[in-house]
Amino acid sequence: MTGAAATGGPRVGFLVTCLVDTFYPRVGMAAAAVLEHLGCRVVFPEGQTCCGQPFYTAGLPDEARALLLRLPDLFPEVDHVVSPSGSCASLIRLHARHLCTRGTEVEKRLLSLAERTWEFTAFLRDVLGVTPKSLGLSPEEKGEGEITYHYPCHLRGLLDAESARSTCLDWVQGARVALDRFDQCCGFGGVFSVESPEISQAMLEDKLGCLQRSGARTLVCNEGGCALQIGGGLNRAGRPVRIAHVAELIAERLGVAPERGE
Amino acid sequence: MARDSFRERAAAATHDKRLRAALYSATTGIDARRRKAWAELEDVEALREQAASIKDRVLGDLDRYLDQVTESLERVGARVHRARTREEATEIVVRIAREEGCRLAAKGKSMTTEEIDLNSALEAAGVEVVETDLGEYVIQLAGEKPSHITAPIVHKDLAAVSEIFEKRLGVPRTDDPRVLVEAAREALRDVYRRCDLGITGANFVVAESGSVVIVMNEGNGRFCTSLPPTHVVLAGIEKLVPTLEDLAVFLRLLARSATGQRITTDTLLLTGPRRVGDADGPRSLHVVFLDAGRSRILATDQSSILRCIRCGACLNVCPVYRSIGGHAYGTVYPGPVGKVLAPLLDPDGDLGALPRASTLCRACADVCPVKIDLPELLVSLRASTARLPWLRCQGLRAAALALRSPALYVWLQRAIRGRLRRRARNGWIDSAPWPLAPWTRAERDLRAPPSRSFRDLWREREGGKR
Repeated sequence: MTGAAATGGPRVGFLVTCLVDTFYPRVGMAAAAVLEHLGCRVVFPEGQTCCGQPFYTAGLPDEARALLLRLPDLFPEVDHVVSPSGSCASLIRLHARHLCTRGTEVEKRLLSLAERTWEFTAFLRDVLGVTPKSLGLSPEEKGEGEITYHYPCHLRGLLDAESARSTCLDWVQGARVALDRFDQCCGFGGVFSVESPEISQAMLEDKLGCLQRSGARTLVCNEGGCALQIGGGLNRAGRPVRIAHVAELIAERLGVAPERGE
Repeated sequence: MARDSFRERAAAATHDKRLRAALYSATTGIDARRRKAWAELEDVEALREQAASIKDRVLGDLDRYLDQVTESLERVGARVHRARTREEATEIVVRIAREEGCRLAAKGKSMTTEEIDLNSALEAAGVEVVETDLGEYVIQLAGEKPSHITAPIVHKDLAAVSEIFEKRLGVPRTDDPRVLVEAAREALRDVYRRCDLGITGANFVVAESGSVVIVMNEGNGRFCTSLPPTHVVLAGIEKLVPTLEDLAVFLRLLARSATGQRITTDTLLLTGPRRVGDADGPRSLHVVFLDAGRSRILATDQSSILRCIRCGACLNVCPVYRSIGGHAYGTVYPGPVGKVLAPLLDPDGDLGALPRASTLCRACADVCPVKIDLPELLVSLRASTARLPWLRCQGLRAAALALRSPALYVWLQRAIRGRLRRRARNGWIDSAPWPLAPWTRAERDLRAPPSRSFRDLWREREGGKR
């Protein structure tokens, strides 16, 4: 099912998320390119804004619901919705049902869409069923040097930590090194990062300490929030570790990566 | 507690390197043992489901189970008391101590007695109280409060304990924990010989049999419940389980979750006071059931918090707890469970900052043996009693409204991008503008957005295709 020429593939609505849209556009382009390479027909409805996740976690369920309910009209004719962020995917897939309990038509459409909403890695694994092996990519020890994986918390409930780690690291080139407490939160937490900066920093310090001890040169980090947090800490400490979304690394291996911009 | 003091205490704790080292090493160690113990269970998920549903059954029909347990306890010769408030509970225990002429109480580890601050009340009434759990004994010698539900001195390293023993018991400084344990044992044996009152909590009370179940590791509870002539049990009303068969489900989960043991070295099932022919046991057994807000919690959306069996597993995996320790919370119950339980038990306590101080990482939900969805409860508290400050709330509401419009979204995106890019040097900001200023006050920079957004790039690409 590989090759951009395949036209019978699933129609995928791409939910880029506001963080990727604004801070990590290259991640979005890479994810879309990989999906297209794997035969998906990718559409990006420009009317999308925020899925509502920050409002849900801030204790503003009505606000979150209003934003969620925009989704069915944005993605009217797609087989799946795919997002490069587990955080947004989990809001839609796991939490929307708690917010949409009135049984209206648009709620029903949202909940149907929710069942077809995927985080990028989970979509590759569970829907497309592709692996590096199935694409004829051999494991490669060179490439990115020492590489490791951070498990973003909001994948919990979508893809468990061990599966997520092995799925992602299967795709990458480089010598895999273990990251202690790879499934411990980095301390981002959205509003938490500015409301409790001291605790957020302490959690970040632990993550950076584990990362330093791992000796990794590249950190696979598939969540915009975690990337802002860990990347921000690394930059302040002057430590040159590359943070990459697995979509970028896959795109690079497949030769469909967008140019590395700013 | 003073206003805003949670944040101050938490911030101070994060700067205490020794505290954080002790916390990390202890909590990660306990959790590693828990993982291993859980892995031994054939179907831990099914067991957790079963435990949750038993607790829900009890909580859904609590009055009936309370009547049943009262009948069972009285049948086996125990006296049952019901306390609606903390004050009533301390009054009941003090009255029992007075009536029985007690002067020295040997106390087993109990968070519920911490909740009602029983030691102070007894001491004010002239009853000396000695904690006999080793960790709690250290806490008492140090004049502190426990910082963890099951590991009260998790915040202390060996050197700190040795220092306390030197100061309070005259034991020369040592790095051999056995010396300290031996000193504590000597002191406590003397207490067991002299005490005339035993006080414990209960991990469970079995409704059908009237058995008080105490799960522990040091054998101290055995002395507290067998030597003194009077034994008082303080138990929250949510501690009931219907049958001994149900109890087995919890016993398989509790020790594994708390310490990674299959079962603790001592698991006592105490059914009534000393009977004719018994070699030991108290002449009188009193069981005090504490409400103190629990009935009220039962009527809220957060009632599932009452399933909690106080194993402490959620504390051990919580990255916030690992960073600040239990004392920073300023509540009897710290950690994820405390963030939900404390504001619910104490609605006037101005504890709204607690449910908000979480990244909702769900580590706690993954390890809760009774499947309490703690993050979901935190979110629901944030939507009710733990709201953000008014101004921030209104700001977020306005933002949510704006984000319903794609045009406003793009306008906001450009405005924020422009503002951040003007502050940036080499793509990074070391001093972020309001309202992100706290971001860069921590040891982290803020990435500046690239000049073009994803939607800009996508539009260019689509344009190029045409």
